Amino acid sequence: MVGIFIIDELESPINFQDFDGEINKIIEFYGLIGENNLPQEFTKLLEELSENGYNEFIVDNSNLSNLINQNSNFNAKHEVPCPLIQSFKLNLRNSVNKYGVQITEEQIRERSKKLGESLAKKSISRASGKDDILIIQMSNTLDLLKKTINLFSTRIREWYGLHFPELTDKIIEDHVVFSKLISIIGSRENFTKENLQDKFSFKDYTLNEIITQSQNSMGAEIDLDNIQKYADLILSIESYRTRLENDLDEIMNGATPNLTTLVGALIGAKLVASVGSIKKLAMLPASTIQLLGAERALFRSLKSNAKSPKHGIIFQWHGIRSAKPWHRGKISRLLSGKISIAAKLDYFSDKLLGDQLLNEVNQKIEEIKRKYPNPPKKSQKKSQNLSQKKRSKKRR
Amino acid sequence: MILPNIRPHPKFVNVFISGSSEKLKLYTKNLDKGNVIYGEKIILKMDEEFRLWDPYRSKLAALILKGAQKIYLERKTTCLYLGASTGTTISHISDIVSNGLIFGVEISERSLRQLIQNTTSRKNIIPILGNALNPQEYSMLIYKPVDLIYQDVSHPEQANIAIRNAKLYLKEGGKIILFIKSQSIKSTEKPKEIFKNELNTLKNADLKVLEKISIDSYAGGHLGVFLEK
Repeated sequence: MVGIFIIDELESPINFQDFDGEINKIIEFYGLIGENNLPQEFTKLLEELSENGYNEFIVDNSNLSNLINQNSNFNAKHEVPCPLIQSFKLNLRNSVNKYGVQITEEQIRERSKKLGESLAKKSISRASGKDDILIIQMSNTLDLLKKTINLFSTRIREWYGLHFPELTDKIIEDHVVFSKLISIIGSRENFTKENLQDKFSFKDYTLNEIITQSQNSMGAEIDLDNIQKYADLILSIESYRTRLENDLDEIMNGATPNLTTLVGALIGAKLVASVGSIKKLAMLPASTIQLLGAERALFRSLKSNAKSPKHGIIFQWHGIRSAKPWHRGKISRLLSGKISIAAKLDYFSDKLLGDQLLNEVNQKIEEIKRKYPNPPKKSQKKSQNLSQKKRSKKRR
Repeated sequence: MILPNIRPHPKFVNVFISGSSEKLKLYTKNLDKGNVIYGEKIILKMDEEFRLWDPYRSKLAALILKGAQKIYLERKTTCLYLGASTGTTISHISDIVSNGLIFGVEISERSLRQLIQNTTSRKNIIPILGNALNPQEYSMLIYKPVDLIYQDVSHPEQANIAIRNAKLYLKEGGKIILFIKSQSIKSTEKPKEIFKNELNTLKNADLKVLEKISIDSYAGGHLGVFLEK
């Protein structure tokens, strides 16, 4: 906070370079070290030192010692904690006094506060601009939007169902198409062949069904204005969701190309969001990745005798969701292994091996299907035993 | 409106109380007048602002209400606060050590973002972004030894964090106020066992246990421990 000081074993001063009390210089100094550059002040000091015949010293900052060893003839040892440096720093005011630097307690405090704040601010703004944070925000927003659309849609179904219950209950299942119909066509009377063919592409069967049902509906005549506005709202949320999904896709392709090729941007982003960063995901073992998102089930099984979960977020991957129940555990284990490899590739290298990983996964899934065509019988017995045990416990 | 009868706490400097002993409320005198940190209630009395100190949000307040003998905070105390978070408790400590100094260490950028904005005008708080498990990381900012370490972190190695920081920065005879969060150490084990383990680790590092207070009724699974170096 004051300058760079060099002391010998007996705590007597050798040389120093101060920052003239300019706080910006100090901030810059630590910024440069953080970015792996040797600050100019330091090189100057080193030159003076080597003229005086020194070639070895101790620093307590690992970045700094690496930098010095790389960029000069000095041998900088990194020692933590170094009692000498520590006692110098903890008595800063008296220590610098020996060099003739006068500074008040109040000044030190102010500098310390400013330095602490600006170092923190710098790294806050650096951290906030990272892909990881953006991915997490976007992924969480997408989740929320999907929930919202579902929630809103069930409500509009009830409301519009008063007017045209047949369309609500039987014919149209897709929420977005349903809202679109309400928004564009609206009243039951307008469900004509021309209108429907113009803006929608229904199959003949559905088309006929809509038209016949609209002519002899059991619904009531109500004011549709508010319902249509509501449908517009749902559609606008949906269009924003699509947009966000595309943007997320782009960011994920840039930040984690291998992971994205393997499981897609959405699941990839959810995995990143659940651990907090790409780095953390890359550091995780496959077994943890397999259960991300299933923490509650996992801890339940650890605390009681409940079965341990087979999959967390990765269940949403089509290959697992659509697999036979007795294949899912095996596929989850396989996939999480490959995800772990992909995440490590993304974080530690530039290699693009996502396609290869995906091929391997698909091949092995085929193998699993061939090897285990029928559900296992043993595990059924096991589960029966388990449930019997539970029952007998209850009886006691 | 009837103003509560705010009076100084009989034992602790710069801590104020109101109400009967069963329904005791705690306050600190606002050092940064006009600013509220976490939406706490403020009571004006004789040109002073008294900030209500909520024991459900701040574990130090819980400790006081649970009958701690000493909290080792004087007007001029220098503290190292590990796990500063967004600034709830640290702001009250800042009120108490009005002429002292607090180094507030926090690892999460998100929390520190709020802490900085909450405390820029408080001269006695120095915000530090760093990992308390590696106390060396922030050695350039700590320019004098501290009288007290206050630690409230969610980390599996809570005892080790306290030991390492005490070794580097705590004065001989300095005190530690440590909250052991059993849930952060192992959620499947019983809190009692965890507390025992952590306390043993601390004792083996030559830290003397002065007082143990369970604050379970305010914050589940937490034990407050006072230690001496």
